[in-house]
Amino acid sequence: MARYIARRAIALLPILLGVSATAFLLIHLLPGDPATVYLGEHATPESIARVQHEFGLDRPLPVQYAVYLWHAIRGDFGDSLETHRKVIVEFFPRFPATIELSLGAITVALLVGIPIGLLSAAQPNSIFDRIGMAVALTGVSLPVFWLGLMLVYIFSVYFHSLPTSGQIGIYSALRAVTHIDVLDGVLTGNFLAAGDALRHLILPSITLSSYSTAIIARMTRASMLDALHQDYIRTARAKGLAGRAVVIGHGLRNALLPVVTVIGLQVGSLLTGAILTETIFSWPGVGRFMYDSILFRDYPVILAGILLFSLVFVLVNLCVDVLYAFLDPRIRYA
Amino acid sequence: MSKRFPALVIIGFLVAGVLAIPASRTSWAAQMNDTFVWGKSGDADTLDNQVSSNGETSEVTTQVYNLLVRAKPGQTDIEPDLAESWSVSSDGLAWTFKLRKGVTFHDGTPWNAEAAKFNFDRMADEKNPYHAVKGFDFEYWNDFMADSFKEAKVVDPYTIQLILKQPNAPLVYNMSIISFDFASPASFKQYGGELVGQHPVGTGPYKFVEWVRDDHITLEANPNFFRKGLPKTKRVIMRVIKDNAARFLAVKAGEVHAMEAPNVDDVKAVAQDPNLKLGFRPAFNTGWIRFNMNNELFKDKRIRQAVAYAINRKAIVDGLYAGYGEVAQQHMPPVMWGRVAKPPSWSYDPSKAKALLAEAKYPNGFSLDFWYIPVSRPYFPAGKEIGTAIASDLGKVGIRVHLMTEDWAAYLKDRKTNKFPIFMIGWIGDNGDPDDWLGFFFPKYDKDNAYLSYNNPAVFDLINKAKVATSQDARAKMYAQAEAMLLDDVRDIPLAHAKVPLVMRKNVEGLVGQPDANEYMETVELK
Repeated sequence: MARYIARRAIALLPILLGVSATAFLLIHLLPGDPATVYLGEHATPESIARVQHEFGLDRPLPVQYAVYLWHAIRGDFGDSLETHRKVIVEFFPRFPATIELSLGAITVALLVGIPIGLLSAAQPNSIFDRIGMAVALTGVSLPVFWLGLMLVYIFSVYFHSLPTSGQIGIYSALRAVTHIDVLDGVLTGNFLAAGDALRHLILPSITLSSYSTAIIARMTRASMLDALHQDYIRTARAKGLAGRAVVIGHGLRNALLPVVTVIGLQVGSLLTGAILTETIFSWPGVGRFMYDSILFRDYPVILAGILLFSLVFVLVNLCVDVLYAFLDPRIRYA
Repeated sequence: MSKRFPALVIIGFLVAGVLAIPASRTSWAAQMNDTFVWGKSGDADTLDNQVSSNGETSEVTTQVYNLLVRAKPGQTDIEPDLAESWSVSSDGLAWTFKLRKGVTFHDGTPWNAEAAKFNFDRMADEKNPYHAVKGFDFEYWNDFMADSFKEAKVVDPYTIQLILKQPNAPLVYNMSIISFDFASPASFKQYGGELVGQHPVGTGPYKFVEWVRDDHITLEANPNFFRKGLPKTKRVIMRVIKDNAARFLAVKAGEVHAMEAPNVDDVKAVAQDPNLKLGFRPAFNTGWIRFNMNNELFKDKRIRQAVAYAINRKAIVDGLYAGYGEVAQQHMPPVMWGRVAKPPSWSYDPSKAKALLAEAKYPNGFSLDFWYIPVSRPYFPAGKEIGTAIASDLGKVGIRVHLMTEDWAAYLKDRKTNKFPIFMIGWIGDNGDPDDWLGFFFPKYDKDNAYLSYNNPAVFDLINKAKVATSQDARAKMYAQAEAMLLDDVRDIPLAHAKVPLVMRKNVEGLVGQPDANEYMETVELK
């Protein structure tokens, strides 16, 4: 297993190199240049030339890429054109915020999606199955920005029960340890702040999880239906095992393998695809930062973000592969 | 059971934490009459405004710093700020400012001529130890002062003189731009030029407390502020909520007191909400259609006139500006001086347009690419829709339009080539001096540049003379004369000025919309 993981880790390098080269090339193929965006309507040819020189944009593309790689290897992804701070410094507090939101969303997706899938599969074509699948279809179909705004309207504007936006209230004094605010609240014993952070997490988590919940519910249902028609289930039932024991004990474990694959992919996309949710809820994560950076043509941030997202995807998939071995004793990695 | 106990305890505390915050906790901010919460559409890039031209920065720094002079509330005219009075020598080469006495920076150090000189030296001298800030430039200094500035001289502890190499008549208006603010010299010495942008220390109504990037900036009242009785609130918190709809919902929910840049539909919804009201920033912008006069077609004035008569500008403004636009008759908006008293009006007249086209030997019209802006600006809130309406109007007189656009970065670059035959562009003012408008739009002729394709030395001469004349009356006449020539030549077709709406809760008083979008929050009260 250790050798397998090491081999996969080494394979990461050409993947990241390929991703960085492609991203670098594509970004520079776009029309317009960041110096003009940076200077806006006041731009003069002299000021554009000055800014281009300052950011090294006047050098040949291969040289720019080589310089970029050389610095990136040493952990220097350059300075953000928008905030003028080190890219790595910009990502540092934002990534934990995205992790917090993703964990919240995946928790909701698992707590809601798997039970819906299980119950639907246990009683196929029942009224519960139909309602469950209708909910799942709605989750897949609803635009995230619409759902988010509706939830804010209902729970924040109408009922005044949950906050509209932000990771934590502006009056909550919380010492940052991990930048995952709920966790920081617990770690520092500031449960009032942790509670406040949790309240801020609820609506964005539900919004972000809507698609994943639906996918997980449908996948669990399909996988469970398949498992429940296997011979060993029939045998278990014939031996007189109770319905719940058959479904949970025998069906679920065997049905989980494809579900875990989907969950892995969902975690990857939650970590990287929270752009709309983060924008609606002013969540200070990497998704919103990337969105702003794309609008601003903030090349260094976009490139670092693409590399980070690629790394996350590859690592999550590696974790999923390792998890297979634990779930299915027949799978062995050499 | 014992293994589960710690987890259960933590969950218990968390639930208690959630429940301990009352249901109305989220509208807490709105209920606090001493903290004004402002909804910003973006974050600042630095809080050192001398090196920033970012509007998100200047909203904040306006509360922290002061200037020699500032725009009057709700106007572009100026009034004393850190200077009590000023005068200019007859040759226009020496500006003398008498400074306000008894003012201190937030760190307790005194404001005086030495502090003013320290700031001018920092902006002007590239070798000054506090000048260089990586990634930033003294953009406003370079644009408005660098060419003419020679030195700042301390005449006495409360008199400073700016000595110029050449006259710069707009100087006093330029000094009302927040990028010419004054920071505590001691703060530069403590933090250095690079880091002063994270530790702003001014003389303004509010002192800087904290900046949580992309989230909020907190300011607290300066008890020693020189305008007595101000500020009215103990704190200002500026929350960054980039999505317009989400920011509006935060105002509706009572988490934020007031906001900028609402969506058009949300502005309409304000009328239905008894807790909300609207305010406006006066129109300080203009959107216009610019001909590329390097293009053979538009060298003919009759064709430019035909286009002007063919476009129903009133219908466009009525239909696409949500009720806060007005048809522009000239380049500068009504809040400016130096305008033409009675500008020619190209009322919508398609038959006149057709006649002019026939006279110009195009009785059946022609085809052309029309470029519209791909972004939303107050002067063109919906570029594509406005472009489509223009294309439709032109189609009616036989001018067949291909609507074109491209990425904003490319658009800004290409307008300065001959790629665009005719295009939409506009301007938001920096200060109340006409030089910021006409001086920027018509500096010279360039045969390779659509933006600078108008070649009329008489207009350039008037604008250049107006820049150095010392009498404001004389300057106003020169700008008006230049504008009259531009309008007579149909160099551009001014389309619209638009005021900019602000949404606020009913209990907000004293928030006056500023033309330059930098409201003075010192007068805001929460009733």
